[in-house]
This record gives sequence, structure tokens and C-alpha cells, in this order.
Amino acid sequence: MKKLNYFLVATILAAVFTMTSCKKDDKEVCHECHIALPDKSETAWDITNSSGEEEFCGEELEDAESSSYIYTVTEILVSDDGDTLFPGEYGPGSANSQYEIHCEEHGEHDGHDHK
Amino acid sequence: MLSLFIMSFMILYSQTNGLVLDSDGNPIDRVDIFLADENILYRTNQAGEFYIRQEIPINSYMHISKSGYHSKVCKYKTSKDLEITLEKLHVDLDEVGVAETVYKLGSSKLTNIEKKRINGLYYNSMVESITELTGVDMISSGLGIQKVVVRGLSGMRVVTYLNGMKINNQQWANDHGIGFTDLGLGEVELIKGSSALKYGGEAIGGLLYFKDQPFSSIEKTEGFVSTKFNNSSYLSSNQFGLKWNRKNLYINLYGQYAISSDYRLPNNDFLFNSRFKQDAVKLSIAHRYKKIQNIFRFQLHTEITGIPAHIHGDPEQVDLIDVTSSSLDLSNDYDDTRPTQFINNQLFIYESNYINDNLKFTFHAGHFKNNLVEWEKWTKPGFDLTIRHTRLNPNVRYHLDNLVFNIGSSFGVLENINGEGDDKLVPDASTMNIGPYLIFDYEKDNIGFNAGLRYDDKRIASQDEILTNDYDTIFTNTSFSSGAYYKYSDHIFRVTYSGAFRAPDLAELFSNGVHHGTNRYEIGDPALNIEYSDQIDLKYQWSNNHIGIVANPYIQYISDFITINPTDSLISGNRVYNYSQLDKVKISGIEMNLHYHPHQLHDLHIEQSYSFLQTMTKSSDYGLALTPANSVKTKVLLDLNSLSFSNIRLDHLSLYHTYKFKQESFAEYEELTQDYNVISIQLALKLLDRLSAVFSINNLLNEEYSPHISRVRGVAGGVPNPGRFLNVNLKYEF
Repeated sequence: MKKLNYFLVATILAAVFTMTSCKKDDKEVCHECHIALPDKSETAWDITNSSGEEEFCGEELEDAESSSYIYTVTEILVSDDGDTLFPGEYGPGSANSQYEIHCEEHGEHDGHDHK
Repeated sequence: MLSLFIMSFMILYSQTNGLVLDSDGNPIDRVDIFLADENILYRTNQAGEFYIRQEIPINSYMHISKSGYHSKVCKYKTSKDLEITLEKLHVDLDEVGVAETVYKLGSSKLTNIEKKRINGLYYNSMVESITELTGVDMISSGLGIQKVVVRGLSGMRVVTYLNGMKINNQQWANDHGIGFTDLGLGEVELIKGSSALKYGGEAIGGLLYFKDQPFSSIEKTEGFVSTKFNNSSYLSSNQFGLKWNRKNLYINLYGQYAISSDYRLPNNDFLFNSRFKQDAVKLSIAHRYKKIQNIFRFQLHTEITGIPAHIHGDPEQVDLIDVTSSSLDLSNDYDDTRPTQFINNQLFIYESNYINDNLKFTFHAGHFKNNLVEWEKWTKPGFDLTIRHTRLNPNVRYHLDNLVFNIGSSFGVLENINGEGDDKLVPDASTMNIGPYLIFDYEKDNIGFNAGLRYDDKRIASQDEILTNDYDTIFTNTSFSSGAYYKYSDHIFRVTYSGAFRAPDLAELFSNGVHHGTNRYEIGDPALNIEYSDQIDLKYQWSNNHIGIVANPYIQYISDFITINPTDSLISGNRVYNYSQLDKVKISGIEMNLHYHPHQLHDLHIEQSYSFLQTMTKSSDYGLALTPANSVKTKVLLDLNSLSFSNIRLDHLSLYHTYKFKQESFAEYEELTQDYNVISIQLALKLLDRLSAVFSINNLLNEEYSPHISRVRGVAGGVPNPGRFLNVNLKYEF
């Protein structure tokens, strides 16, 4: 019985060690961003990074989340709900500062994002 | 010094032997003999015997208990061998103060104290287990964020203590949970209302005092490993515990690791970002040397908690589909997303007790550090708040015949410090508090009364640049409490009258910014002043072998009640909320408990509790915000101890039903909440001698409901609580 107890103690300590040392590798943080109009139900238009890709990474993500960021829309954007956003400058650093840039995630339904 | 320490192990103490028998004279094994003042647990062997190796001071409280028997409390009077007889129990009402037990917070006969054993094996969460107490509810959004509501009051009005240290963790906000888990805890005591003098006059809503499991006098190391799983949020919560004792030295060590994804709604969607992770380690060391006992405790608790139902628009206008997911991807959906709170709590406690016959001197020193970082963006926190709270509590308890005196004081220094963050919702500020008190209890035969007085002096100061003017104000006031009881045959009558006050909190005084956790722009008011509470609490209880009844009406008036109300303005898409004071608030109600144990069915227990609460404000027709709906809670438990199949022994089968009435009394910005029923069932069994298992089905009927005080009640017409889910808990003890 004593052997069993020592075995259990060892197992517990090993488990704790494993639990506390099991961390994911550091990797560059990348997220999708959108222009958000905090109206009644927050209308959102997806935007792309400088390379035309969906995800903003590293410094580009930091810039997008800064309080002086300006995003230039070159073509009409359409939200999931069908609202349009005309070309122009948007974001907290622009004249259209009521339009915010959000990079947080939302739940997904049937393979598509809600904002 | 070292040689003194070693010497203390070598001294041979006087030993007390004892024997516990049932009413037929048969020995009872595994009876808990708990020395309350020393916080040490002894247990009888198979012959019903126990041996206390150490000297027991005269007048030490001993609590003798075993499930299925009437527990006993006695004051130790002699060093002669003890013989104790326990009678079979039919009606167990210890949670409402009928059964004899020892309370940390005082005499339950004189103050409305209730007690709940905390056994994680039978519950999904600690806070959820406490809500089984009458008059207790919780504000929550899943298992991640949960906080206790007592008779409709919460936040700063319900003070939480953990092993003698006050827990300050920005509890003013509903998205800031209780800050620790059930790890290593043994029980919680609750004072409803404002009678908690010893632990602070500011607890005008109630006081929760959580206590660790006691140290154990044992021959060999004891411990457990346990795990929990549910198929709603795919929670995996694992704990271990070890208890060790050699002579005068006692050590308890616990650890926990829990991860949970988003919880499943009744419609099979998942509430996005209701996920969380928790890690905790707890170490307690006690040493006794003659009449002196020293205890050191350390606890580290880290938490990463998602803030679900986060939107930037009008919460009432969004659709449920905007805050939910149709499926879980378990490779990603345990990971933190945004917005998320990162919490790091560190607790250090030193406790010293000197016990000498009629005198007990206790000195508590505690330091609690709470760091709360709320991230809405990925690259910079929204705010980063640290509380450093140091508290000293000397107390002297003196027995004089039938009188017990407690005299002491608390000294506290609290600092609120901002780190790097986008916003500074609450400024850098400090508070200093001194609170001396005197309490005396008198009990003789079937009558008793008590009275207490406490004076508090609290200074709040801030020179933060975000304030227009420097702030330096001293709040002082006197709190009091008095109670009396009378026992006539099996009837017990008790009345308590108390008055307390609460100074405004830093958030209430100085807030000015977006609070992402609540989707609000909150503005404080430096002109806020003290709120005062007066309460009368009556309690009648009666029980015989088969039925127990408790009725507990109460009425509480709070003047200059600090509240937060919405305005018509929006800032950054967030509605502006202002703190203000209401002239007078009346909180009244009645709580009742019924425990029925049919004579013909000895293994069947029916417990029912009723909680009726009404809140009224003098200045408007609306009620107070977050007033819980009236409720009837019923538990039917069938004890299956006599049944076994092969090596599997059944423990109990229980059904738990909660009926919440329609809530028609609500604040101006709230809505009516419909009534609902929730039913859960549970089967507990022993798979092996040391392996216990509990299988539960929660929300059996998959009821779609959003409690009136749910943290996400105001989003999308009310985000529902979890739908039907299965819970499997396993615990192996060695």
C-alpha cells in the first residue's frame, strides 16, 4: 500500500509538472479585422491587409488596433447583412472616426462569420 | 532556533483517548473529531477509538460528526478519557443552523449564520453549490464568470473572506468572478445581511467566509486525485490533494488545472467565448507547540476567462446568432480569444493562535494581490489593474462562565495600481481602514443574547492625473448588531437587529471609461457618500425525528443606496452609465426550509426551500436592478447505501428541481423575466472502495431560460443558460 501511495504522489507531481509546462510554442499573432460601425447591431465590413490577405499579423495587427489607424477602402464593401461602405478613409485616425477597426473574433455559423 | 524547533518534536505531550459509540453501545468508525480552535481533524478507528496526542486547552470546542448521526459540539473540560454517544439522525438541517456545529463567524443561535459543506464531487462549480442555500443566487455567464448574490445584493455589498483574508478583486463589476475555486476548501459560512461585525461593517448584503479543509492528525499521507468532465463546454477539471502530518507539523497541498470551451445552449449552438482556463496551487502548513499554533498559507490562482456576449452595438438589438457558434472546433476553441480577462491572484496568510483555557488570542496577517488585465485588442490591454491589499486582524476571545467576549480590530491598507492599458477605468488610489470592535455573547440553558459594536475609519485618497481634483476623504461610522434566542422544547426563536454602513468604492467614485466586460461607459461620482443599512431578521425553527421547518422573515432598509443607471448618451457605441445614490431602498422577504423524512421510508429525504424577496425604491416605481426572482428549490434524495452490485456500491440518487417565478419587479433598464423550471438528476456510487463516481444530468428537460440576474440577460433578449448536459465526476482517495 505504501508503494502505491508513493506511486500516486509521483503520478500527481508528474501530472502537475506536465500541466504547468505544457505551453504552446510562441508564434506570430495573426487575426482577421473588420471595419465596424457600432450602430444598433454593429455593422461590419471585412478588410484585407497590405498584401490583400485576410489576416493581419505582427506590426500590421498592432497598427490596425492603434488609435491613429486609417484604412483606405478602394472598392465598395458589402457587409453580411447587405450594407454597403463606399470608398474612402475609415478608422479612428480618419475623418470617419465613428468607424472602428476590430480584430476580435466572433462565433461562426454554418461556415461563415458573423462580423 | 533550529534546536528549539527540533526539540518541539521531541516533547511528549499528554494524550487524550476517546471512544465514540452509537445509542446501542456499538463503536462507530470514521467519526470526525474536529478541534475547531486548532483546526485539526481526528478520526475514530474501526473500534470507535481516537487518540489526541496533543494537549487540549480547556474550553476548546470539539465537533463530533458523522453522516447519518446527530453531530455534537462540546467544550473540552477534562483530560480524562472521553466517551461520546451519537444518536442516529433522521433530519439533517445543518445548512440552516439546526444541527449542532461550530461556526467560525460566531454563534448561529444568535446570528443568522448558515453553513454549506463544499464537496466538488457533487457540483459543477463552487458558486453553484452555494446557491442551494435559501436566499442565495448567482450572477453568471456559464461556469467561467460566477458571483454570489445574497438576498438581492452582490458586488461590494457581499464581502468574501478566504481563510481569514478579505478578498478584494474588483468585485464591483458583474463580469469579475469570485476569484478562486473549490480547491482545498471544506466549507463556507454565510451571514445574510449586515450582522457581520467581526469581519467588517461594509458587509451590508452579507458575508461569505470560505474555510480550507482542516489539517488532519494521521499516521500516513492521505490524498486524492479527482477529475470532472461535462459534454456542454467539454470541461476538464483535475485536482489533487495531499495531507501529511508528523507529530506537531501538518501540511496540506492542493493543485488544480481546468480548461473549458464554450458552453452549449438548449438550441445546440454554443455561447462564443464563454471559455476559461484555471490553474491553482494551495499550500498550508501548521505547527503546534504546546498552546501556540502557527499557520502559514499560500495560494496562487490564475485564470483566463472569456467575456461572452460581447457586442459593440445596442445589446437589445443584436440577434442571438451574433454571439454564438453553431459548432465547436476543440483544437481552437479552448484557446483564449477576445475580449478576455487574465487574472492572477496571490494570497499569503499567516495565522497565530495562543490558546490557554479561557483565553484565545488570534493574530491574522494577510496579503492579497489581484491582477486583472482585460484585453479587447490583441496587441494592447484595455486596462490592467492591480490591487495590493494587506490586512492585520488581532482578536482576543475570553470565556467567563456563560459569557464569551471578542475584542479586536482590523487594519487594512489597499492600493489600486494601473499598469499599461488603453483605458484607466479606475485611477491609482489607496485606502486605509481601521476597525476596532467588541462583541459579547451570553448563553445559558435555553436562552441567549449578544451585542456588538464596531467603529470604522476609512480613508480614500487619490492624486491620479485623470482626476480633475485630488481626492482625500475619510469615512467614519459605527456598526452594531444584537441578537437574542429562546429555545422552548423543540422550538427555537431568534431575532437579530443590526445596523451597518458601506463607504463608496473606488469604481463608484472615480470610474470614467469604457468597461468592455459590461459593454458600458461608466462614470463615477466623487461626491458619493456612505450608504447605511438597518435590518431586522427573525428566525423560527422546529424539528423532530422526521420533519424540520425553518421560517426566516427579514426586512432591511438601505439609505443613500449607491446604484448605477443608464443615460440616453452613447460614447464609442457604449451606453453611458452614471453612479448615483437613491434615497431609500427597502428589501424584505421570507425564506423557509422544509425537510421531510417519511417514517416508513428511512432512506428518502425531501428538502424544500422557498425564497421570496421584494425590493422597492422610495424614489421610483421600479425595483432594484438584478433582484433575483422568487424561487422554490426541491431536492429529493434516496439514500442507496444498502444496495450493491458486485464491487459497485450505490451511494445516492437525487433529483433537484428549481422553480423560478416570473420576475415582474425590475429596474428601469431591465425587462420582465418569465418563470422557468430546471430539473437535474444525480447518481452517486462507489466503483471501488476508494473510487467515487458521480453522474449528473443537468437541465434534464433542456429548458431554455435566462435568469433575471444572468450577466447576459440584457443581450439579444437574454442569452440562455446551458442546455441539457451530462457531468461525470470521479474521485480517488488514498
